[in-house]
This record gives sequence, structure tokens and C-alpha cells, in this order.
Amino acid sequence: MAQKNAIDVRKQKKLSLGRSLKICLRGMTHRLLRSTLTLAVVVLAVAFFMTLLTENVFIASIAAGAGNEITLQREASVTLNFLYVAPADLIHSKRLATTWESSNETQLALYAKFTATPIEEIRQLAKLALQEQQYLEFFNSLSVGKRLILVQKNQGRKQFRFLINPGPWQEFVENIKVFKSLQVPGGIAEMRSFLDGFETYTKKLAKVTAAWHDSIKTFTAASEKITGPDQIDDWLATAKANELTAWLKTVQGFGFDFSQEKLDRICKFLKIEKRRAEIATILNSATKKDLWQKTLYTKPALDEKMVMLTNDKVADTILESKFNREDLQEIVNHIKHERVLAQQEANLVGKTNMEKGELLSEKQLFLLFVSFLVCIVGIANAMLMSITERFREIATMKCLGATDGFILTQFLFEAAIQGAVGGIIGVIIGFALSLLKNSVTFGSYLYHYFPGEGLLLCGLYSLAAGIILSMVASIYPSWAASRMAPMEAMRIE
Amino acid sequence: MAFDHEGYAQGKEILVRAHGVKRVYHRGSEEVQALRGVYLNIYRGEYVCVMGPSGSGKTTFFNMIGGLDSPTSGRVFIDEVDMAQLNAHELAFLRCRKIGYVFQSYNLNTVMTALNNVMLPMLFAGKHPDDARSYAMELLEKVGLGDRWNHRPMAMSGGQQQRVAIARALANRPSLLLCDEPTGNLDLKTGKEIHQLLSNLHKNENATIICATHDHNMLLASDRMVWIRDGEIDRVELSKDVKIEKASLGTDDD
Ligand SMILES: Nc1ncnc2c1ncn2[C@@H]1O[C@H](COP(=O)(O)OP(=O)(O)OP(=O)(O)O)[C@@H](O)[C@H]1O
Ligand SMILES: [Mg+2]
Repeated sequence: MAQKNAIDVRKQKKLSLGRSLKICLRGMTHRLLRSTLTLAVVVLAVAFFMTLLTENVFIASIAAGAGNEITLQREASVTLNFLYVAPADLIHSKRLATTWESSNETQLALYAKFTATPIEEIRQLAKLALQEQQYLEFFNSLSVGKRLILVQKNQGRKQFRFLINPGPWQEFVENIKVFKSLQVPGGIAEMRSFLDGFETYTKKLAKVTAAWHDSIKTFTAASEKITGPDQIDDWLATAKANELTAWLKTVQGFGFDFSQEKLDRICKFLKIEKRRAEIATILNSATKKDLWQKTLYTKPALDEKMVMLTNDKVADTILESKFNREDLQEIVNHIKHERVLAQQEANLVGKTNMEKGELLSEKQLFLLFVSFLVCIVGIANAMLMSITERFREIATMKCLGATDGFILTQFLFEAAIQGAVGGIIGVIIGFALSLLKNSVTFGSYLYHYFPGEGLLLCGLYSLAAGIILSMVASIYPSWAASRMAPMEAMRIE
Repeated sequence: MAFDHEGYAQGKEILVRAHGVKRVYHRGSEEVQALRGVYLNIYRGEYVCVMGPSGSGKTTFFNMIGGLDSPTSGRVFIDEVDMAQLNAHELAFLRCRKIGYVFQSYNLNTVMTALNNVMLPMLFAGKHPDDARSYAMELLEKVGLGDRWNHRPMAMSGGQQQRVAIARALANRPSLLLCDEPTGNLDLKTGKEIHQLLSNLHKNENATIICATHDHNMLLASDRMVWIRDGEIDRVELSKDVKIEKASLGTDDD
């Protein structure tokens, strides 16, 4: 018989993704319950991933916070040192060199203002200062023998003064050639010209230093009898509010970036430090030592003992009510705070991968890789099980005209939805676990420096990981499902 | 060889032609000859009942003519199209539009409502969901379940489920309806309902129905009976010839 194409057999239409998704979504809740095993695996994996990720985010955020606090505390002494220590020429040279090197324009302007010198001159001076520092460094890096040959026994500025004389300079140049590997920074000619201008440079530097001293005197006048950093510490700790305001105005008048807030912080810090020193003196005085060693002898460190002083009786007997309870509590809090900070710093050493731009360390990546592998196998296995359970359903769909592609997309959609739902649950669980774990380690610091944005990002990453993981794991099972023979629909068990 | 009776094929158009269909299953090292060479013509508008003892190869034969499996040797033509020539997408098209399947165990999608179940083949055929919905409602009404369109299979009796399955099988107006023991899981009364539905389809809409069954009511309503034994066609009888021998069927219901 001739082959007559009575039925018009065409290719089956491909359903659009939207339609496929709609069909998949029907009864999705039903499916989700049915595949609790797969869901559980996804949840576990995502929770694990989330804890790993967030741990680093927490650590990084707390490190930044603790670091910031520590800087703030140290800022006090640094700033005061800058304002009240009248440094020698050489120290000025160093300061100028670093500001020039870091091309810090505001710092240079401040310098100019503070020393009442034109900015151009300061620039010139800073440039020469950098040169001087480089030469000094060069000399210092030489071995003793070589330096002896080059600049005889001199050190520091004396080396320059020695070289300014024509005889030694000739020798220096000759000897440099002997040590072939030696390179004077910028070359011999530049050094010669530096040495030519050395006298004027030192004179100018001395002038700037003198101007600095003058400015400091102005400060001293503004804040009564302060002459050095020790005294300003004392003064700030005890000064009245109006005196402090006057002082702040003077400081700001010189162009320093010094806010009221910063001043308050410094004052508080100094006040506490002062009291702490006083208590320490009392504790260490000959008469008290005996007494408090009897009461608190098990605690060796002074700070520890101070913490114990909050115990009423002890404080009263030892300090003879010289300090009121609030003061004492404040000091103790401060000590505790400092200790936490120190501990935080120690905790965080080597842990701040975030600062290096990495979210995970190599070890964590390895862990993650292994766990993902396990998860993929687990999910694939659970999916395969659910597919054998549903083989009749799949085969029936094929009898009704579903193409392999349709079945494949159904299962992949299902996997994606499962990944998303499991991922959301996993993110929440992971976050809770991580919060619990880190709040044990970091205490209230955790809430103080709560990295909201970072955590959100972690959540999104984890969710994406869950979806991708679940989809990757179901590629094979979905493919297997799509290849199921339609005749299975006819079978009855 | 095609067991055609004198004059029966006269003026009839062949819809399905099985030509020496063999199917061998491999179960481990053992070979099972499920079909040993089946020759049969099925004509358009015919109601054929297939009978045979368990394991005789009825389901296997249905798989062959339904495009669900391919024969080890021999050929199956539907409307003179050789099924072996069709690729996967064309087979899907054939299953979707040309053949309707009614399974012994209903095989409804348990998570979908009756309406959605009936709509599914139409969606696969690329019909617009709104059109599919209205035609599915029409079909459900036809099988007497118009008021139950929103029920899930779990909430329906076996007969109702099977009627949904029949509505689903009719969704794309197939040329051929394949029913593998559609009343096998039903009690007599509901079985009768299904039988009624199928014979009405045959009478009123001239549907081509191939039905594996032991239900003698169905046998009586059919045009021809095909007896399969050990993977071969044992005999083919016209129902009108058998009617007299009603008692000899050994059924004692009614
Ligand atoms: N997938 C299979 N793999 C191996 N053997 C099979 C398979 N399907 C069917 N068979 C075998 O082929 C033979 C015919 O089976 P088939 O299911 O076609 O019988 P049947 O007539 O439909 O029986 P029943 O009335 O019990 O449904 C049986 O011996 C059976 O064991
Ligand atoms: Mg069977």
C-alpha cells in the first residue's frame, strides 16, 4: 500500500516557559511537602553556607568597629602630643617629610598656618625634609664598616656637615664608586646640591621650629599654665566647661580639626585615666598594700583588683570612701571595655579576610566545596527517589503529549522553587545560628556594630547558592525523568 | 492474516494497521515474547474489544498501537503513517492529538483539579488557556461531572475519576480512543456507567474505540471482539455473531 499521509503529523509544539511554570506551580505546595527530604538538604546546605559567610561579615564589622574605637582612644594622646610637644628640628624634618610624601595638602596648610610661614616655603622645606630623611635612611642602612669609610664616625646631621667640606666630599664620591652596588638616592649630583643648600635649609627649619614653639606658647596662654603634654592631660581632666570651650576655640583658630565631641571624649578618657592612676597609688601605698593583699590577694593584676573593688565592702575598707560609687563603676566599666577591645583585637588577628577583599578563607572554601558536593549528591538522590515515586504521573503526561523538554523544565522549575523555599528557610536558620554563636563570642559588640548590609548580601548569596545548588543537583534526575518511557503509564503494580 | 471477516471491511477505512508486530522483553537473561506477530486492521468508527487472559499481551499491544513503545519487529500504521518513521516530537504530537488514553488506574494528576486535568492535553496542544477551559467544562458536563470541575481526584469516587480520565482522553478530539481495562478497578455499577459513556461516544460521535475488557456488557456493545492468547491473535469475532452465545462467556452478572 502506498504511504499516504492521511493524518497531518507535525511536530509537537513547545510550551512557553510561562505556561510551563504555571503548570508547575499548580500543586506546588503539595509537591513541597512531598519532597521534604530534598528541602531539608537544601535548608542544611544553605544554613551552613550562611553561617560561614556571616561569620566573616560579623568579624570584619566588629574588627572595623573595635579598630575605630581603639583609634579614637589613642587619638587623644596623639593630638595632644602634636599640639604641646615642642619638637627639635630633626623631628620637624621627619614630620614634614611624611606630610610631603603623603602629599597631604591640608596638613601642609595647617603647618603653614601654625608656624606663620608662607605655604610655598613650607612646600620647599617639606621637599628638602623628605630628601634629608632619605639620605639619613640611606646612611643608617649602611653597614658600620662602609659608613666608617664614607662619612667617618659621624651620625645624624653631623654626616652632612662632614660632607660639606670639600676634602671629605671628594673622598666620599671616590669611595662610593668602590662600593659598586651603593646607590645614593637621587644620585650624587642631587646630593651635592642638597648639601650646598643645607645651611639655609637648617636655618629655615630652625625658624619654623621656633614659630611652632611660639604657637604652642599661645596655646599655653589660652589654657593657663599648660606647658607640656603631661600638664595638658591634667588640665583637660579637671578643666571647667567654659575653660575647655575657650581652649577649643584657640585650637580651632589654628585650623585644627577638633570638634567638641572629640574634646569630650578625650576629657572623659583622661579623667578616667587620672582616677585610675590615683586608685593605683592608693592600692600600692605601703599601708594599704597589706590590707588589700589580704582581701584580694588571689588576683595578681592591678586592673583585676580594681574590677573587684566594685564589691562594696572591699572598696570601703580600702579606699576609705575617697571615691564615690559611680566614679568607681565608671572606671571599672572602662577597664572592662578596654579588656574587651583588647580581646577583640586578639580574636580578630588573621581573621579579617573581608579586608583582603575575600569573603571566605581557603579552608572555608574547601569546607564549602565538600559540603556542596555532599548536598548535590543528597539532593540528586532525593530527587531520583521522588521521580521513581512519580513515574506514572510523568509517563501519563507523556501520553497526553508532553515533550521531553516540558518534563525537563517542570523538574528544573520545581528544583528552583524548592531551592528558593529551602534557601529562605536556610538563610533564616543560618542567620539565627550565626547570631547565636557570634553573640557568645562578641557579646554586645555584635549589636553595636551590626553589619546589616553585609548580612543582607550574605543572605542573597546563600539564597542564590541554594537555588543553583538545587538546580545543578536535579539536572541528572530531571533528565532521567524526561527520558521515562510513556508505556510506564499503562503498567499497574 | 488480518482476520477480516467476509465483507466486513467493505467500504471501511483502515485507521490502525498492525503488521506482524512482535515485542520481546528482556528480563535479565530471559526473553519474554509478549507479542509474537500480530496482524490486525482496525477501521475508523469501530468499537473493538480486546480480550485475553492475563499476561497474553493486551497491554503490550496497546502500547504498540498507541505509540507508547516501539515493536521489536513488524510495523504499526496509523492512518497509513508508519509510526517507526516518527521522531520524538512527532510522536508527542500523535499522542497529544490523535490518540486518547484511558488507563485502568485512571492516572489523573492528583494535585490538579478535574478541570485542570482535562485542560492539560489542550495546553500541551498549544490551545489558549481560556479556550481550553471552556472546552474542558463542556467535556466534563458531557461525562456528567459539570458540577465537580473544581474537585481534586482524591475527593472523587473511582467512577468519577475514570470519567474525568475519559474527558481528558477526549480533550483534543482524538481519532482513536485506547482504553486498557477502563472498568478493571470499578465495581459493576460504576463500570456500567463507564461502559455507557463509551458506547454513547461510539454511537453518537462515531468514535473509534479500542478497549481491553472482560466486561460482557461492553463486549455486547462492540462491533468486533479480538481474542489474544500468548501474544498472538487467537480469533476475531463479530459481536453480532457472538450475541447468541452470551451464556458461554461464563459471566454471571446482570
Ligand atoms: N516491561 C516489561 N518487561 C518485561 N516483561 C514484560 C513487561 N511488560 C509486560 N511484560 C510481559 O509481557 C507479557 C504480556 O504482558 P501484558 O502486560 O501485555 O499482558 P496483559 O495481557 O496486559 O495482562 P493483564 O490482563 O494482566 O493486564 C507478560 O508475560 C508480561 O510479564
Ligand atoms: Mg494489561
